[in-house]
Amino acid sequence: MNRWEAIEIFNQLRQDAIVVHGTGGMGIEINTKSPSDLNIYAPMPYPTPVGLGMALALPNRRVVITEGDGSALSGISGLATIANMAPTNVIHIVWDNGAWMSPGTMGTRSHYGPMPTASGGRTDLEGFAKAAGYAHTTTVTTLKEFEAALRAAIATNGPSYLVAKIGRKLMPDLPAKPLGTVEQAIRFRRGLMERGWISSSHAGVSQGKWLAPVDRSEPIVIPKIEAETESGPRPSVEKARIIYSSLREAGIDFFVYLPDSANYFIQRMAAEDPQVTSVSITREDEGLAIAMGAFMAGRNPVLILEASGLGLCPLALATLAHEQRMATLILYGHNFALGEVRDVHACTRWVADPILDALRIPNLVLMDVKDAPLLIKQAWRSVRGQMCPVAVCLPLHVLWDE
Amino acid sequence: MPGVTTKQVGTVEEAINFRRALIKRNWVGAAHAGVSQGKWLAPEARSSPVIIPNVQIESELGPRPSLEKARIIYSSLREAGIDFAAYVPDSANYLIQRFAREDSQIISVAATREDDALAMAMGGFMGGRNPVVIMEASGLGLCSLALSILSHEQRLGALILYSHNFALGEVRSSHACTRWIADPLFDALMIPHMTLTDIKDAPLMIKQAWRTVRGQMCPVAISLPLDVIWDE
Repeated sequence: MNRWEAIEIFNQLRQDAIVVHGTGGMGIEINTKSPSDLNIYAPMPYPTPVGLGMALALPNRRVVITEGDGSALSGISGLATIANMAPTNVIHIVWDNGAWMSPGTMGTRSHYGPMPTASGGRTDLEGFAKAAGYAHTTTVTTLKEFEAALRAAIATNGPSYLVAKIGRKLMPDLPAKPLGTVEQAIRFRRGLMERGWISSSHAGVSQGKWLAPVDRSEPIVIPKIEAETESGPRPSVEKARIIYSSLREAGIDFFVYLPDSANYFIQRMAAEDPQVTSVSITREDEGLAIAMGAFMAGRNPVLILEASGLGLCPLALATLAHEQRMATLILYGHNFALGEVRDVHACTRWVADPILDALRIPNLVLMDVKDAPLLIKQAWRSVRGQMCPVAVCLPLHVLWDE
Repeated sequence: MPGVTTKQVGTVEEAINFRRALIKRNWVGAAHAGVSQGKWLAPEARSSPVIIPNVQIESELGPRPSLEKARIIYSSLREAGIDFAAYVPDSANYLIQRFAREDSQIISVAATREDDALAMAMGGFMGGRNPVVIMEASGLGLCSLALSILSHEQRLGALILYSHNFALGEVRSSHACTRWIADPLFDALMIPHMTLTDIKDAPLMIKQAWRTVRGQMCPVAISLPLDVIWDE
């Protein structure tokens, strides 16, 4: 089976599906054989999490994640997150030729000799998805099987995982289309807005309206979290409640987190709040991409993590944030200078402020929990208005009782 | 565990103890573990001469990776003593990575993510090997955690070769991430890094960079701009 022929079939069936596509020849073939303003690029390993964020933000719209086997393998931990969030509107297509195809064909029609991916060896991609807990998984080897599997995925509730075994050939006369351009991201935003799927104020195309409070059909209710009272330094439920309430009052309605000891109660409130979407993740960069995908699709996200996890995030911060203006609020526990008694947290001072500064991501420290409502509201306004991430550091004294 | 104590993990002391334990058992040389100065300057004792694999590709016109330039860089790595290559295939470095893959004298590992490759290489370094990581610059954007904890805290080193450059010959918009994440992150993390601007300098630069990795027990990164690894 040739991929571009399968994409022609896909194009006949996709209707108004959002397509989050990966890089390389596959991305160009998608945009050649199935061009749409609903196509958006995410570099490996981010098609999977960006697609999940969009699917959760727009549950009534179909989201197709499409990537090569190399990209799929690089984002493999994200399968567990998709499976457990169980979005019914996700179809995940992996084009598996068992090789790093695009790298070996750059600038030429000949392949510079195969370098197999793990799926070209012993690894079974469908087996991964099945074990992760996807609702449906299948592997196809012919165009006829592909069409049947795609029709079945469209007709049933997902998430569905479709591995298409393809030949090691690129589409003849493949044009040299650029991927991941600013233009593509702008067209995508406008595509969502013109269909009425997101508001123009959220898409960053109209100024000012986002300053107004978010329309709420029901009052905010903060979940009641109880913790046993003990003496000694430990996370404070009361401080967590102030910070969580500040997030909700600012309009945050989409929480992504990797549980950590300092932020634990804030994360628990999110996990137990039926008024918001909350996503527990496997890696921090995956979480960042999920939050950014949700932002692109009209939600108001925050990522809550330990500072060390920022060390996995520069690629997403550079490509998704700077190039495509996907944004999110970021709250991270620990601080470069204050109250760091454990040697193992030395990574905070190496990776948090230096990296955020190097990438020109606005970042600041919440020194007093009393300032949380103001600081969080204003930081979120900058996220919306500037369409860029803003990071707020939470030192231990702001989260813990002495 | 009942009565669990508040032991520190990931300390510098733990890493030093680990290195010394490997030396005492003669599993790694003292020179490699960074506890004896100077000896690492001597060429590695080799039981067999370095043989560079014979990689062939079809010849075509137009900008494309150069087999000859890839051979020069790969030979420089081998002559410097590199015997462990971890990589995520990318278009610019593809032929260098193919040499590694087809070289039966070394360990070569194709990774699924660049931080995965870096951590493997650093584990190889701690275990007495001489590793290089070969990747596209974008992959450095996944590596900051490994560069800070494994490198700064535990002194695990590796040579890093990355394709693309912040300023030279970048014709594709999607490679903008190179200028965002390569040099700015290395500067922020204080990782030594430089650009190979002339293929003729590869043997010297790679040999000296590797000496710094061994002597300082820190990563050193070399950028390979497209003009250095492609033919026009």
